[in-house]
Amino acid sequence: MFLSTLSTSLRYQGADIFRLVHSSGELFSTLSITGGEPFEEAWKKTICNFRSRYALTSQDFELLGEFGSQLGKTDTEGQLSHIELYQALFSKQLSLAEEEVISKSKLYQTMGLFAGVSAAIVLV
Amino acid sequence: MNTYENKRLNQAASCLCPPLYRLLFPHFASLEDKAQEIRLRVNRPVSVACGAKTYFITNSGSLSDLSCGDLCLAKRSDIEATFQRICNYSVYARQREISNGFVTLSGGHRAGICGTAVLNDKSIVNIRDITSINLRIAREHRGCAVDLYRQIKHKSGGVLICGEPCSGKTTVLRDLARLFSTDGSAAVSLIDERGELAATVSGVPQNDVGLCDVFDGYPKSFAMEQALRTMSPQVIICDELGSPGDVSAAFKVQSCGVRLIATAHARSRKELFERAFLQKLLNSGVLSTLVFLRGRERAGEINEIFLNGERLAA
Repeated sequence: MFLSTLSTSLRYQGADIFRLVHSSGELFSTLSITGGEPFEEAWKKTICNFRSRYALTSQDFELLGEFGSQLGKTDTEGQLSHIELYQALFSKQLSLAEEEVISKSKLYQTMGLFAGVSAAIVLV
Repeated sequence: MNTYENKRLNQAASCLCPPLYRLLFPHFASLEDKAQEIRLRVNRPVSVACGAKTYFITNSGSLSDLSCGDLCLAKRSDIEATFQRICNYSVYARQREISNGFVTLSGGHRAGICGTAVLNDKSIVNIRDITSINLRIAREHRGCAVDLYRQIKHKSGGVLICGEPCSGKTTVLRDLARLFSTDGSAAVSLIDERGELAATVSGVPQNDVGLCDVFDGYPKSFAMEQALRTMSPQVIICDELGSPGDVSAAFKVQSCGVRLIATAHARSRKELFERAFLQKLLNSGVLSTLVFLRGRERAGEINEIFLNGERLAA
């Protein structure tokens, strides 16, 4: 959702990258728009705050960092291609996370069942 | 407290990458009134142009007027970082300006850039591998065109202000826009194709252009026609008539009874009349007043004025 909004705003608004990212979703509403510091620094600070709020892996953070490091640095077509590429990469990460949730949830269910059965045996 | 916080030189230099800004900062007081340009060229000494004199920054942070010695060279990374700062880290948003070769900064300053052109159908769509940046420090000389304004305000016909590069054509034109729209109470449409006159940043003119209607970034000939249709101007002001399309738009402006004030690159009448695409316009009398400026050494000063071919007192 954030990437789609960013992509549309980038194509049609022409505002600077600080404002575009800031206005493209609640996720980045803490990003500084007053300027003064390089965008890459502002981006890094913002995603650092994600550590305490979201269950993201180190690979997710790496990907987010790489994505932000190239934002604003090329022409519109370059930026749109960059967003498209990372849309695919983030989707892949999401699929992997979903697969992990499914496989781990089965494991946890089985372990729970066994733990319950074991507890029942011990109590009986 | 930084006493140079709001000064023009500091405002322009603030887009330099931090290492270069720090080297230049101690010299802001001495350079404030005379610095015209800060030049960065990849692997070449960083220089500050002050009229006829050029200063170089040494690695120890002092100024030198010699182009050799222990001078601070602009690294590729310095140029890249400065370029990103010039674009406010949003290169895509300044694409049109980059293709035109310069970016307008807050305060009306201009960063000229050059590197390797990326072409598409013979037109420049981008500049990559930037090798030089020329930061031109904009100075508003309010009142520099008062004498000229008094001489031409009651005359009819168009006005062409001519001079060599850096002779102050844009500065004079900007002041004329302010004077015609305020003192003269005329409806003035200001065609600012390259953002040099009003220097609009995020919709706000950075220079005082009085009560003009500003057409920022419009192609000149298109803007002249649109101004005629939409803003009912009495005066249209634009810089640098540089193409046959501009000339035909100028004829339309004149045929609608609107006064055109423009500039052209030419040091003398001879040089001006040698420019083929302008000849028709000049011979037709559309631009009845020709103003020639002195040159870069005395920017903004008028050398000669011709009205219908007759020389007036400057």
